[in-house]
Amino acid sequence: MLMISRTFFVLLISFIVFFIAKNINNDDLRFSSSLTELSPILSNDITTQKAISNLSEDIQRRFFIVIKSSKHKNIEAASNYFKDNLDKNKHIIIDNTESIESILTALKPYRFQLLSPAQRIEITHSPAAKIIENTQRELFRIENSFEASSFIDDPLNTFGNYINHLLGNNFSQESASKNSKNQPFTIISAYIKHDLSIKEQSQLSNTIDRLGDELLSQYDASIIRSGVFFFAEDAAKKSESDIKLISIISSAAIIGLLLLVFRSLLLLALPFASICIGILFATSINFYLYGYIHLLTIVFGSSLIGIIIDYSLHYFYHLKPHKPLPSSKSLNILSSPLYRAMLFSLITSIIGYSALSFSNLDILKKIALFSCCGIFASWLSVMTLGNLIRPSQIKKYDFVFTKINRCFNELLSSIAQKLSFKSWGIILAGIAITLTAAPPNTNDSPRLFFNAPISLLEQEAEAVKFNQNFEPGQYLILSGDAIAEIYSLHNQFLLEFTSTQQIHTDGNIDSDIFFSPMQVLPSPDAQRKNYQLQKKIYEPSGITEQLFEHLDLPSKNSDILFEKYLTNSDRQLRPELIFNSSNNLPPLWSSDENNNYISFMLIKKGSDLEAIRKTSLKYTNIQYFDTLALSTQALAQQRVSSSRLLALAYALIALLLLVIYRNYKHLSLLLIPASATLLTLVVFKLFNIHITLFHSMGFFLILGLGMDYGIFIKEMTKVSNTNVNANNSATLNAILFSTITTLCSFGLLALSAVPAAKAFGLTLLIGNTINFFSALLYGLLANKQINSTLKKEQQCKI
Amino acid sequence: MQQLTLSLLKKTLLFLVTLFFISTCFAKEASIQNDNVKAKNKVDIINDLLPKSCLFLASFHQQKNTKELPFPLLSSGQLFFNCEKGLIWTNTKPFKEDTIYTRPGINFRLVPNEPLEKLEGPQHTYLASLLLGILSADLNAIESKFNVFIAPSNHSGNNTGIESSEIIKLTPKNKNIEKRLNSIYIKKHFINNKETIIITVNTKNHQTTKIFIDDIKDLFPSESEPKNIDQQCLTYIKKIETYQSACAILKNPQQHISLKANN
Repeated sequence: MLMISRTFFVLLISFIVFFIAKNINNDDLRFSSSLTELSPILSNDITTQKAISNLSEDIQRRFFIVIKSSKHKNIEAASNYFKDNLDKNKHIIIDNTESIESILTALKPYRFQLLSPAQRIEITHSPAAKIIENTQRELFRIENSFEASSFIDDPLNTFGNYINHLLGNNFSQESASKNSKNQPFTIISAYIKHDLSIKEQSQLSNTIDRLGDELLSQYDASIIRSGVFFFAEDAAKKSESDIKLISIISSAAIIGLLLLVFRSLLLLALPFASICIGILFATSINFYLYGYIHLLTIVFGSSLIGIIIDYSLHYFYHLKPHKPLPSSKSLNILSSPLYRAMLFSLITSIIGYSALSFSNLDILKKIALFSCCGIFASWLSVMTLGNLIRPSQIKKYDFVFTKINRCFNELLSSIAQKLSFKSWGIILAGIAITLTAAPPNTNDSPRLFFNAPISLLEQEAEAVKFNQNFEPGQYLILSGDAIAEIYSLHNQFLLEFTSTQQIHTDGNIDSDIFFSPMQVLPSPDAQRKNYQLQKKIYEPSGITEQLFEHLDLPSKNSDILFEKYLTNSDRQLRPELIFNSSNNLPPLWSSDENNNYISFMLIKKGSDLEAIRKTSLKYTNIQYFDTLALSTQALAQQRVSSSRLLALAYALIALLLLVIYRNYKHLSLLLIPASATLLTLVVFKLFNIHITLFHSMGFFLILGLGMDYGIFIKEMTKVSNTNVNANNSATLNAILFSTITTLCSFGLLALSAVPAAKAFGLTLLIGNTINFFSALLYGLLANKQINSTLKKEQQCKI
Repeated sequence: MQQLTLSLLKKTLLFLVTLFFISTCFAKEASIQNDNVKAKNKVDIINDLLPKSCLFLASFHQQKNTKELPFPLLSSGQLFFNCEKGLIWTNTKPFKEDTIYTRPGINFRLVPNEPLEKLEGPQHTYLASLLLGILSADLNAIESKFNVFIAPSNHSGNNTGIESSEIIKLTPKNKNIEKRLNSIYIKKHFINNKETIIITVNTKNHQTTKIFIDDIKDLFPSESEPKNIDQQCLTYIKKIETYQSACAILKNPQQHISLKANN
């Protein structure tokens, strides 16, 4: 068995070394602070969920800077100064400068299918002579020089005018100064090209701050920041400082305690190595699988130190000189109480952490994987490297722990005298019933993931006054089996809802309230009509030929154009070609291989959302999405299902205990984590702490840790039951030591600035303290039971 | 001997360091002075080349050369400029139409027998700020959209007249416009004491458009001309027989803003 564990250990170390060697210069591996992973799954349909995730990812990449000044003259200069300096940052695109070119390139092959409403009217109703006159007029105009197409290729500037219509109506690029309530301002929009590393995020944010200060001093202008980027950057900063705080203080505390108790560098080396190997393995696996690690994973991961250290502690405390370890040839690792306890401890911790993976939050799944890998690698390191330490080398100077434990034991012994496992169970059942009748308050708002700073929230609220944008978290999703179906659905909805709609000749409807691909690009049917309509321009003796004749240009030019027109007859512009991230446009359209199409309809801020929602209910293929409400609902569902999962975890562990000990009486071990869980809930109720999903997830770890303590007490009491009154002080000292280290980590997590981490840490801080006292009580009750059994046996012998 | 050499070496080094320090200080001072001259020159040259008046009438001729057309496109007309309100650019030949570029950045076009067209898109905004900046000789306004360079003119004089000694070269700051527009040159030409401002626009698609602005008539110094902008504009409108609404739009463009872009 040991051979297997050593082989695993060698493989694990090889993986770490190989991974580090291969990726040491890999810049693609990064730490992420993306908020997308914190969003729960909002739709059961994979295509819809993918589209929602893409859109929210895109929203996170956009930010706006409002520049305002009391002096109108300063605005433009300030804006230029800001843009020129911000433009030096290679990770961002300002004012969609690159997107216009990519839109032009993407649209050009479909130019015979594209016409603006005004162009359709002109071609349909105007005589050829009039169109020729207008073209000539345009030819003389100076602004015509700026057009992208050449005169010979697009003599009527049909494509150029369509692009002007498109850009003018939908993607106005010129961030000119405007007046709103007599306050001059300008808006600079920016798009982050790719996921930024924490350092890059911080650099960008610092640049914006610096430029803001410079605008104030040089141009008397101030800036307002708007966008998810600023919140993510703030969260990353907080997470980073949390990681530093937790890892440095808890490591220092643990190293100090280890040195104080064992006074040996050799004995410090094993826990240190196990922590390093555990964290390195967990990090390598996460990088290997996902290519990045989320900062929140590291925040939670850094608290793992408190759990990982337990294996070394138990190993040192329970490695008996007189009890030989199982030989490497031995097949039954469970024959050693230490190994058995260590194995059970590993299983319960893994059960506790893997429960997080049942959540539908990506981040919790990643935390579960990180923690389970870390725990397993550390455990394996202790079990393998521990053999290098001889029991005689372990000397403990833990008389303080003994004194503390004695003190606690004395305090608890009066309770233990009056209590039995049965009555303990009955009391807990009573608490459980009371809590069911009057449960603690809950909070499922996704806003609790991070504490947004007030200054950023204020800026966001102020920015809304300047930037009349679309609702970021509320939109309509239209779905269908064909592109035409979505267009038809869109028109039906608008006809029913909008009063200010404008119906065009091709059947498309404009609305001031919504923004969707259907309003920007013509439907497949309209594209066919546009193509037919342009025949009048390009056919022999058509408008182009007449115009060229008028200008004394050779007729072969019109022949070439007609040929181009004919060869492009079958083209159909699909909305996903334009509305995708590569064009720096929001991905408002998506489709899958089964021809399921999805389109978003964005809603302008200040619209009657309730009326829109009610109208959408009449259509089965239109869904009104309120991401905040849906996220709250999804988080609430997860919280409820996590409590069911917790019950399942208790049942599984009960089953494990029955299988291993083959005696139902040993189920009493469950009283330790059950007490911790129920009493923590009582504390939450008393102090009116609102329970979130992260509090609920903490209860799984309480179960794991409580079982750890119980199993060690049980196993070690069994070993030393020849001297039960000594109460196995080594075990209790190990548990106290372990509790202190765990509380160091989770206590610090409870001080975190990230509410999610704080909730988790607080639950464990309270829960594990109760776990410790419950374990002591369990020990006392177990001893009481053993003593009475021994007494009975002695009486029988007499 | 060794001591003497060392002392000489030290003195030489000290002298060289002092010399370097003094020369650096003087060089910096000279550079600062030079920069001041350059900055002063830019403003002066702009003032020399461009109209000084805040309210004037002028004529223009435009010559547009394209790679694909074998002949230049010639057009001409009149303009009315008020530095506070904006510009009415009236094309009279070969087609009649008014383009109104207003100070708040809202631009319109009036074509005979056509509804009023609101001009949207970056090219109109850019052209408006270029023309308004040049006609009001506002360096700050020009520099907000263009990089401004001053270059000496190649031709100081020929048989058709005398050219200004300097040329203003503008290159766009906006990246989108930069993809379409190469550069703009502004210079002044004197023929028989008659001033002509020549604006040359070079685009990426090898088009060159030259605008000649002459007959600049300052409306302020003349006692016979009314001072009121409305009356002046109406006089202009009557004179060139164009739309009266152009004046109304120039005066209050916000009233016409609700009009949808008609292109």
